[in-house]
Amino acid sequence: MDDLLISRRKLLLGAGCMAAGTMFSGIRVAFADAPVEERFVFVILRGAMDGLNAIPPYGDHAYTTARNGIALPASAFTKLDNFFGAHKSFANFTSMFASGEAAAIQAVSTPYRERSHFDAQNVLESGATLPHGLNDGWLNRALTLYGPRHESLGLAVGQTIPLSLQGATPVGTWAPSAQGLPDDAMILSLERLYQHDAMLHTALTQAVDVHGIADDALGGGEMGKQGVRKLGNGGGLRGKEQMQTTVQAVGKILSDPAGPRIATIELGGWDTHAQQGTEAGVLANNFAALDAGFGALKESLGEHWKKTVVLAATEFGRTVAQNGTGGTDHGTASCAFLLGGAVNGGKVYARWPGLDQTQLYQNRDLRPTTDLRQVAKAILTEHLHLPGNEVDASVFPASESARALEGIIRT
Amino acid sequence: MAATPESFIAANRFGFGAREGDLEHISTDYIGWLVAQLNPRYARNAEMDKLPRAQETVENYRDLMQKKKADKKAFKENNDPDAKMAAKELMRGMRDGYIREVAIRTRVAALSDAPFFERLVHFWSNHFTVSAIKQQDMPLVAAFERDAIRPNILGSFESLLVASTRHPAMQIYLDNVRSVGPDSPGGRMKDKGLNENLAREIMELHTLGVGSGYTQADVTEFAKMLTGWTVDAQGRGDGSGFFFARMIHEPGDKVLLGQTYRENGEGEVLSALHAFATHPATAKFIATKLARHFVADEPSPMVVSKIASAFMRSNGNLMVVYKTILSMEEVWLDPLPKMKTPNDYILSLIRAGDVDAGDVQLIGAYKTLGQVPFTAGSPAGWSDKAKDWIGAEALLQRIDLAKLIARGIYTKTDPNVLLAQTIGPVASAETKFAVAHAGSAADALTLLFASPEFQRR
Repeated sequence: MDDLLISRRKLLLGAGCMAAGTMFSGIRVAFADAPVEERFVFVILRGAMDGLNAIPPYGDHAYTTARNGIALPASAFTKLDNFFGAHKSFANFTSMFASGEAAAIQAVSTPYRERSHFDAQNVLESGATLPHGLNDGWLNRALTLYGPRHESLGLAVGQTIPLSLQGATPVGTWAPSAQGLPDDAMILSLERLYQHDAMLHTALTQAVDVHGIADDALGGGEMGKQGVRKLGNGGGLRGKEQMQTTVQAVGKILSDPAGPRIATIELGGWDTHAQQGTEAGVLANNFAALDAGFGALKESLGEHWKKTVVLAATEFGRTVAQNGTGGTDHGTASCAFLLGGAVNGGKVYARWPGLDQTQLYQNRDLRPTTDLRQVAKAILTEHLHLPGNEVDASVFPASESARALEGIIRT
Repeated sequence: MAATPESFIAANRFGFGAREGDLEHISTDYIGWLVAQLNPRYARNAEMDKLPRAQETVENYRDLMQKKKADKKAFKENNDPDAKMAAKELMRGMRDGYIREVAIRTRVAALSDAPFFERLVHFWSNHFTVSAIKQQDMPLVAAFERDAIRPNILGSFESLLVASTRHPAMQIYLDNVRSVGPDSPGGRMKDKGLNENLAREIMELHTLGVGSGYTQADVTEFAKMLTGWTVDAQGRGDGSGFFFARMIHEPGDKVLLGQTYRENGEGEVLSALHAFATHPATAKFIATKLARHFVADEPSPMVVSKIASAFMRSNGNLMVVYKTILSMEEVWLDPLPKMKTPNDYILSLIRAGDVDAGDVQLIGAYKTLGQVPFTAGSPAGWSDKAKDWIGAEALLQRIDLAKLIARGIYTKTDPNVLLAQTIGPVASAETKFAVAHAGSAADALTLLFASPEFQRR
């Protein structure tokens, strides 16, 4: 049997089909079958990123005083325009901003207005208006609009699937690991063992599927074996090196013509309650990790970069003023990043609410003026070509007030 | 007598899986077997008794940091390479100590004759999460479980809550050591202020639960009450590692959940914790978490409400709460509703395979499966839902580990016998067939360990 089949992926997929009808997900579709050529990467920044020091509104006369002691000095940021800057750690972002491939959205938030990380992440990922309003993720519901398919259009980077990609449509997960798939006989035995266990069966099917693509894309998987040791549950990637090496591999997987089109990446470590620093420090280091990811994505996506949108967003922002310990507590609005050749870049999109005490939300937080769903809707409809009425009906129900933000996608 | 499905549930849903002979031993008195484990004598353990207590750990850590600082300074000033090495050595020592603690925790749980007791320790330790992700907490996280959790899980919820809040590991993890009353003498002198992290997470994650009606103002007021609750770095307190620093406590009355609390120093927090511990929202929140842990990922409202009313009726008497869970018919109906977390899957493998895993290997397994003890990524702790643990990549890691363990034991283990001893009462025809007809003993054991019945509970 071995000599009849070229790659192990095909062997397994083929054998699975013979043995159990539609058990495995079938031979991968040809290039022309893919319903969408565009790529979308959603980077989830877990822990509430301080947007006021990522994209500092240095032109707001209250910025320095309102941020008493944690405002960025002029040496710590690059001016993007005559009002907003970008923290110096965002070297890749800033250069892409200059070439029109990157933009920022300021004073943005989900509809959530309380200050629990976990409820806020739930809203960010479910796309509901309230915590636990929906049991699946908005990206999974978006994938469902492409109809039932054999291949996985969605990919979660990590060992498990974050809520944003959980739902009725199967998606793959991929993480760099030292071991590949078990041997073929073992996979087929396991496949029979799992036939009445939907959760384990789906996971196994996806493992065979995604590993095949990853091995092809990464040349036997050598690249995936480097660098990253712990892609644990809860919090996502940590640090610059982990982000860079993982994201490089992800870009390669997304470049595969028969590979996934939509991916999620999680980056943790943003909950800066103490000693967050300004020019340097823990927050600056985390900005650098995120920026390294941006650079690695652009590089590894190669020619596909021009058809790509990357959205990096967090669950909420942080207090404008520093707390008693050189950090910031939980706030409301933050900023989001948009990158990719398909982004109408070189602009900070903001209806700026102001940082005077009277302009703050509940006297402490940056007031949200843009709904993150407006950004997501623009990406889904203008970039991924999903019909607006269906996005309204099923991806973001009860979002009439949040109309797709105009002008952020190149058309 | 043949082992019963209930004995499988008792050993797995309320334990870390069966060892040889466990299922027959449990047999039909499965509730009696579990209740007998709710005994305070299991709180102590000879191996753990030798480990340093919190106060000692705090002082060791302080000395360590001072020595590290001095070494670094010596290196900077005199370019003394030995000093640099010494600083590195100290950090390595801290990490080694932590790894030793994880190994001991693993052995204690895997070898325990009271696995239900250990499951409750792990449950509460996760409910009151502290994490070594915060490096300063690394030497303290295991001491937290030993000092604050183990001795308190059979008493009242309130005592457990107080013990957790007072412990230096919690004070450091959620930044309360740095929180200063802005109008306190210390605050005015140094222009310092509040950090509301601990206050918010106690209300949101340890007691009332989010959406139970408290406001931002309540969080701020409770944060004021908590000022002064700090770590005893100088050995001035009662030896528990806790110290109340009056100099930084915010003066004045506080209003919390509509109730005015007169200025009362250290006592304010105790009154607030009492109010939280006896609040119906807390009963419901704790009941939901216990039901999710021991009954189903999405427990029925009926199950939750039975546990919550036992909690309220008994003023948070945890023995009453546990016995209520064991007495519910719903618990004993379905043998396989839940997936084992990586932590519990690893412990099940060690127990079933009678494996003597070396420290480094253990940490390795926890790491590849994504759940190294005491390193939860957020104060919400590890998830108790299968969908957060089972993805394609996670499953591959489990299968790899199953294979590794199988290869270590196949020469001395009969796969069919081990199947009967571990999952016998609930094994499916497919699993029995696969194990009986595998190409080798190692493959047979791999399939047993990777089977749904072994991964589920």
